[in-house]
Amino acid sequence: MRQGLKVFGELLVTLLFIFGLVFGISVLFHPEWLGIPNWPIRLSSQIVAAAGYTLIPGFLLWLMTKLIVSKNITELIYFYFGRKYKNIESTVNKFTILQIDKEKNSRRYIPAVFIETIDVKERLRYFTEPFKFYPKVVDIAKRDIGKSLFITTLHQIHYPIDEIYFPKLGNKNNLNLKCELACEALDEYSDMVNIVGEKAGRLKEEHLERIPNDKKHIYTYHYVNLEFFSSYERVKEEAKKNFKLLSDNVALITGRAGHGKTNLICNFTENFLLKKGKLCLYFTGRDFNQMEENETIEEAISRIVFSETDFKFSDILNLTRLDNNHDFLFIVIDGLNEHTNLIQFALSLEQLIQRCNDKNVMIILTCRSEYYEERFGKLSKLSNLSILPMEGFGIELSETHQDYLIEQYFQHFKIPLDLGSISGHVIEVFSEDKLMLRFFCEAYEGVDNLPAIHDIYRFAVFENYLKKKAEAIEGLFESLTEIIRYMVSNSRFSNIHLQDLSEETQAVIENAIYENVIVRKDLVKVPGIALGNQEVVNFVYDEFREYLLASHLVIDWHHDNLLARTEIERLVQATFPIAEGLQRYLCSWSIENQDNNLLDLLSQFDLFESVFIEIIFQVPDELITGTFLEILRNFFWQSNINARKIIIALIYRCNPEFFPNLNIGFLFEQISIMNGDQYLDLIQTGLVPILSFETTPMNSICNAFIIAFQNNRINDESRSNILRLFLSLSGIEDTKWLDRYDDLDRYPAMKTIELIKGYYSNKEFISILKECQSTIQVESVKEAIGNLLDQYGG
Amino acid sequence: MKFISLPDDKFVFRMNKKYSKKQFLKKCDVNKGTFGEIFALEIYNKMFEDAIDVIAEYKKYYSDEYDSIQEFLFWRYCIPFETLDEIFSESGRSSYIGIFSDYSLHLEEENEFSRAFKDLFEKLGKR
Repeated sequence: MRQGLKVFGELLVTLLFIFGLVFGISVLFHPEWLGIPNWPIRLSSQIVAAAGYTLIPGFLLWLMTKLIVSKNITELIYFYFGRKYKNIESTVNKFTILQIDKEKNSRRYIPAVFIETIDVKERLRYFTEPFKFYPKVVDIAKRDIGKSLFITTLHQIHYPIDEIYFPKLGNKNNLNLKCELACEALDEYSDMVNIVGEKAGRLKEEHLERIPNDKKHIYTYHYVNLEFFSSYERVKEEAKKNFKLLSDNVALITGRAGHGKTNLICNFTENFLLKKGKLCLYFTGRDFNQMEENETIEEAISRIVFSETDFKFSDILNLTRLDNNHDFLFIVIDGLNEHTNLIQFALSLEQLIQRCNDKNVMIILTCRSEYYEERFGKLSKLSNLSILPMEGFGIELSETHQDYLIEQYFQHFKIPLDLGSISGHVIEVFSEDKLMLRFFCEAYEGVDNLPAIHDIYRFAVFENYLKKKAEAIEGLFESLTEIIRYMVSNSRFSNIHLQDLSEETQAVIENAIYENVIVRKDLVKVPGIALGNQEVVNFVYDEFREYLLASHLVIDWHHDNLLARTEIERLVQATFPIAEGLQRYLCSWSIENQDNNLLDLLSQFDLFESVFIEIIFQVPDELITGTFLEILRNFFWQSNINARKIIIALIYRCNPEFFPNLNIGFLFEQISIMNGDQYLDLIQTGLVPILSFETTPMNSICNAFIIAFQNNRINDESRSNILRLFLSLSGIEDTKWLDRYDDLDRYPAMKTIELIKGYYSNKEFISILKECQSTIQVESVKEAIGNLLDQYGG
Repeated sequence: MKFISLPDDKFVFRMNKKYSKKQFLKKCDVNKGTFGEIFALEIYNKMFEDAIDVIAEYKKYYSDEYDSIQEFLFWRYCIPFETLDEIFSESGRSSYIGIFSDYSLHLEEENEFSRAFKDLFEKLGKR
């Protein structure tokens, strides 16, 4: 009704305007009107009569044509004057809002932790609003082509090339044609710039002549870059994909489990489609599980969305035709692979896409990569479909977003911490391992008195996580036990066939899969059997699986020690993918529980050295006793590889208040009893390996601290130890420093000291220098400190 | 007038207007045919031809999705909120914010080029 009134109002204003215009012109060009009695009324009636004679037949003709062409006069009347389409619009919107809320409640979509850096969201924008984004796609194509190494080189050598021309978008109806023409323009431009001869990077003779003589010398310097024609081809292909996307009406996002497809699509639906008032319907693959035989997806949609049987899918399509505010109906289906009958669903989907080809419908789908290839692969043959893979280059987070993500996770899971109360090392762990961040947050959700976190104790995190999940999901503990038992007895640690598990466990898996962090279902091929794909179960996080396996063996260790010994000896063989992880958690458990017998058993295995060095830094500091420090000391002196690992772990422990037992003092202690040869073998060669190219562990340490100082991430308690650390490393010489990308010196520690000196008072600086000079015996270090003392007036 | 280096050799800057080539060269006060002119033109191309005019981009494509330009710059260009506060700290109308990337521009280093660049930028800031 409101829309009808709006149109009527606009029409009235236009008519009044035309009337005024004609009235004015008549008076202006025929002033004799002014002499006629009652002239305004007579002139007005003349204008109205003339307009009536001209317009009424035209209007009637237009109305007749409109009614005959649309053949839908009733719907038109319903739309302008009835409630039917208002009801449909509001039901569709309410349905989608409700669906998104459901995803939020199940924690499949956590809006607070959604980070949108990936290109996929941008490309979804192009797909959804092609008319609006066409100029942007053109702009990006021009910019990227201009920046490609090949075209830049052509400009550098002054080879005359024209700019690429893309057609302008006139009206909405010719979008597809213009996109096709844009792709043709890209191909034609390729032919034009493909001027390199057979000899790598050299121009063909006839093209060489086109470079001005006074610029030919530039060509001799830059011609090698002309070898990289692929730099142009890559951006050309990318641009063609974007133009195709603008003209397609199905977009399919593929990606591996846990890569954030659901988060992305829910965010896009909520903050783009709904926010912009688009007409959209959101479903998951599971929503179509109850489809009846011979039921189409359109019928299923009508059944799911409308409780009133008199509304149909076609009514929503009518709405897009009648309402100028809704160009399209957007159908979003997340997780095609979640449907229980994939073969039938794939067929129904294909039919839906084909039927919607000439309708105002845009379809956005998401699917796990491996399921897509196996079960929905036929879709890729459809010419109007674009695939948007959510993997590979471009999905890494920037540092800005990483920090933001951690804070958002903490806020969402009510963890009373912020970036200031977790150490740089923990930030690094969370940034590199998002699953650990999720496990940590779920494990400590709502815990009020959480102290500052200086290190991640994985054993404790998993223990808390499992306890919470077991309380929330009935039968989880028993099911996980069954899966782990199966793994141990069959020496099979991944792709566990569902049919090998009990019905109860299968039911629990179905339940837990939806949450998507503990276990997931995958599709694997059964060798030798045609069409033999089977659904299997895997742990989402390998570390969690290894923790569970270790816990299982620890229980056996107490009940049947002999059996457990045999099992451990068998499972830690290097041939098993779980060998290292299992040893790490067993080692962690034995240190935390002071079980020297288990540690003795583990020490017999090859990986013990590296496992122990890693794990000793992952157990709470108060549990590290003298015995463990002695083992670590032995390992330190055994090889420069061990020394390097220990030093890198110790640099995060410069504050002895947080780590009273194992801190950077351990390193100072070792260096203080070293002679020059030992320093060269363990420290110099450990931190600047002979075969190192772009950078060295030493340079990474230096750069990490320089940045930490610049970003004010160094606390007062650590400052003096950091200076002691670099003084202890000041004897390290990097003879290949000129070949590296770092801006450090031949003596990287000395350069670092120079850069961070401003953060110390002169008194403090000199006092630490003198202290180190007296405790360290290594000549090269003593000399370096002596030079610093001379330089800074000590 | 702000010019800030971002990670990955990106730069963001804010100006009170978008200069034409003629205005820019005049402001730089360089003589025709000199190295100074070549240098200024190179900088002009970076800042006004190659750079993305983010205010225009925001208004044209993203203003109905993001509530503020700061939010847009945070999400689309990964600019931390602290840096954005710095960019927007100066009052007054900012009609041009540009972002460009250049791996060869080491402005944090003290050398002839970075000094010349900073001088030039200072000149642009003066009315």
